[in-house]
Amino acid sequence: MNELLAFSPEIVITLAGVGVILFDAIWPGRGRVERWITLGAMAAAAACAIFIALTPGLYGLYFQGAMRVDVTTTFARLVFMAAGALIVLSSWATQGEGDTAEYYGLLLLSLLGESVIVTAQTLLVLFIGIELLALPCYALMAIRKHKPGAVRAALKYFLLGMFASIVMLYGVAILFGSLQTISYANGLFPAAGVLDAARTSVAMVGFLFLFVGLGFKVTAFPFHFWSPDVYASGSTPVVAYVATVPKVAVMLALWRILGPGFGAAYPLGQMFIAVVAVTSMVYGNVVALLQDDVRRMLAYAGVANAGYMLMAFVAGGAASHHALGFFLVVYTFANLGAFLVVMAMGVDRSISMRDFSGLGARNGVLAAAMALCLFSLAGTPPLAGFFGKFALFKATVDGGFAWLALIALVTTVVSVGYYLKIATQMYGGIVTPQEDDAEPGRELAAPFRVAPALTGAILACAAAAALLGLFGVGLLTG
Amino acid sequence: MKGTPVLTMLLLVPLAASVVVLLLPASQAKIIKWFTVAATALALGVSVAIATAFPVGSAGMQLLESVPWVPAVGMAYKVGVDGLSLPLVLLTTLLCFLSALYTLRLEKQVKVFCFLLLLLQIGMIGVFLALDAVLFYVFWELVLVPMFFMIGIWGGENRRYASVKFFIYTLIGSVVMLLGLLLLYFWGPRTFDMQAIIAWGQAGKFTLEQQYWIFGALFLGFAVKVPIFPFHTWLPDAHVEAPTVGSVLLAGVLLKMGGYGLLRVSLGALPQAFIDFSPYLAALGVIGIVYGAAVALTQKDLKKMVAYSSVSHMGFVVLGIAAANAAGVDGAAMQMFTHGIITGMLFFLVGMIYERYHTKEIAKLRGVITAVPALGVIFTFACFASLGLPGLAGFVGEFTSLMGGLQTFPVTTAFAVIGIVLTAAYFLRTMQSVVFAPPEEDSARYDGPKTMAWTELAAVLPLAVIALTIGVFPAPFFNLVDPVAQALAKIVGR
Repeated sequence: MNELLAFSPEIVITLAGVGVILFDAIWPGRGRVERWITLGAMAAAAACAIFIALTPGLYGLYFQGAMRVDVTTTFARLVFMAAGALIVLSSWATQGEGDTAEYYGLLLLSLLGESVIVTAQTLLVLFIGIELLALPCYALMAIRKHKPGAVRAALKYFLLGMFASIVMLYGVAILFGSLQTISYANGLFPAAGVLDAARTSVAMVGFLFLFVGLGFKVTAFPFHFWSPDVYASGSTPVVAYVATVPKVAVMLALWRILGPGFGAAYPLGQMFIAVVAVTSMVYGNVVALLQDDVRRMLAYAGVANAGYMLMAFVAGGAASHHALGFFLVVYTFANLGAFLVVMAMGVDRSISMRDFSGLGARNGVLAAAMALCLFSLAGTPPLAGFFGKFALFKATVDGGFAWLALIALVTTVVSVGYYLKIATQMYGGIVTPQEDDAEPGRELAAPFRVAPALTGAILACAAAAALLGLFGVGLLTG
Repeated sequence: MKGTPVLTMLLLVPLAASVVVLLLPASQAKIIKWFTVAATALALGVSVAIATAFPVGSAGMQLLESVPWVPAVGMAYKVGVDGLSLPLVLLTTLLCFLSALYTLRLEKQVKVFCFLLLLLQIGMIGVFLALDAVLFYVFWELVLVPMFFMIGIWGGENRRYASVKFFIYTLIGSVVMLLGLLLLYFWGPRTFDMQAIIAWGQAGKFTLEQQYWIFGALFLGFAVKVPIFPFHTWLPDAHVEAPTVGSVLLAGVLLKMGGYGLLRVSLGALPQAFIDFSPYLAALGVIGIVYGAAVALTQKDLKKMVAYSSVSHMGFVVLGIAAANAAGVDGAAMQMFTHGIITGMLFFLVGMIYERYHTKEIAKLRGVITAVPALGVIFTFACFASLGLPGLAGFVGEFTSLMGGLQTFPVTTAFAVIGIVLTAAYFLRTMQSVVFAPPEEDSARYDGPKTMAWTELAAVLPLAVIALTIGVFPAPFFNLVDPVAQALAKIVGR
């Protein structure tokens, strides 16, 4: 009975996901109803998650230690449902007719996958979660079939994703051979000194393979190579989703696997993560500077942000855990907001820096939201992104990795460059729409309208990206 | 008044007013303008009340207010005022009030302009009051945004280029400055409390290497703002394109943020790096004085000339700061204040001339004194004040800075004299042609009324009175600043 209660959010999501598809088979062409079912399911799942958190005795291990419900689970469920609802809102206008059942059903099923990833306590359940997340995403990526390149992007995403999964599965096998367990209910890797040298080295090989699979999902360098192409040509709301939510899930799962003490016990693994973090930050930020396609730019910014997140695993400790949690929330909303603005600019075409020219005058709300999201991502005080990055940097310095934090600080300064590029496009030489003296070359100054639901979703993201720092202090301190 | 959070009130007045302006309908332009005047007058009143109650002769922070913000990382809302920041706060509230008066003449996009003006005021006051490094940075950045829009929306032909250049220069400067502030945190006492950081630095707890790194990072942010040669190139562009009020506040207040930061943070927290770097800083100051004056001499555009004169005058501030003895700091503080008054006045006047003649080209402007006698007289007065005529405020600041400079860097300072001669040259030349020369055939024409509007007089006359008062009787100002200057000089042993 407790199992049913503790996993009620997942059950609701599963029923809704399957239900939407069945509903469409019985009463086709009622996209609006399906949309409301989806939103309702998300709200119900979030309510269930809160109920579980407030009911004593429901936190704990379930299914012979295969899954765990705890604070992290609740946190993740709420973030996922909020993000999912924002995605639904954002595609309110573009996904009203046709393909709705597939769209909403697959979205719900991939959300289920994310929940499984975070609750998993054995590597195989984790693997199932990752596949449950990924398979709907592969299909969703091509849901706007007529969009040039959408099918190609989906195929690329699918083939490379499958490859990464296989490598990861191989890693799981090696880890089982070495550690003789796939459960990480008490941390996968035993404390330092428990394993002899030979087993440790095999375990490290297994860890590397596992990391390849997870690094692929979080787009850490050098496993990011798929993301710029896929982000640039995939369906935008799906890209916004894939670029944000799975990262949160996988990062939280990685923390569950490695635990706070991995770095200290396994210097080789620690060094490996540190190298990946540094190369991600440096490479991501520098290459993002060179991009003209905004989605590609955001893809490389995502690589850089994966680097910042990975710092938490190098330093370890409870402070890193809290910092990572806060950073992930801010990242979710800021990144989602930025992608949704790109989506508002045009769903089916590539968006370059030029497209943002004069947006400040054409749609002030959209431009302001974009600016808030970008500068929050860049880490400008007093926006939430600053507090997220600051907490991460502080935890890293306190963990004895001042050099890593210094690299992160410097690359952050670099990152301001590309966020600034968009900001100056939006506000450079701004002319207000009421102004009557029409200048030549100002044909772009026509007001630019966006569907209300999408605007609402963007505003919610921007508000979170801006204000969580001022009011989310509780999250920061744990 | 004891215990009243007056400094917070000083910040809340423009904040509340900006919210009200946002809520008022844009069609009620007149009400919005007068409301802004009233709000800035109230802020001015509060700051004057603070000044009258200020214990002159004390070097320490007064009226401290501190509320924890993110205690886990040592972040707080902490404000205070001392003899160094008080004149700058007064300067800010005064210039904002006069700008609001001048804005009564504005027709286009009044609501947004008034909103930005009030937002700018919050940021400027906040920078001078903040005693928490993050808070300081937030206010510092807050200043950037309204000024960017002021140039970008109400600017001249080339506003896009100018506003973007302004934004990029100052943003990159301030991001690097943030890096410096974070280093102060991590290498320092693990709090953002600036007083604690300064105490840490003065106890010599930063290693020399740390000091150099932090000094370098902070310097970039401050140097762009001052601007110190060679980081000044954004300034003439921004000034030429900015609307009058934007120019007044840019030259009058924004430039002082850099000088203030150098004195408060760089000198206060990193004494050894400051001592080691000060000869170069003095050299950059003198280069700024001479270079700014020389370039001003060659300008064809009146506003650009005043902009380059700002580079030159801020050079005296940098020289005084680099000297870092009591006279130098006194002089730098005085020069910051008087430059705000005089250059603010000059930019108002240039705006008024432009409104009448629709040109800023020096070669086309002739005989202002016959066309509008009052404007000609006040413009002459402002030019004399700016070129450093003894008896007017500009002289006091420059002279005291030079005195300080001569004590520490006699050779470097000697070169500054060239700048003084050049300054006299360009201002006299300008006055001679623009104010007194008879109109020629190709000169711009103005046949309107020979009088100035009351809003124009109200904007510049108070500044003229202050320039004269400080010129003849600078003692009260020095009494206010000197204790802080002595304390700062003691830190670096000069």
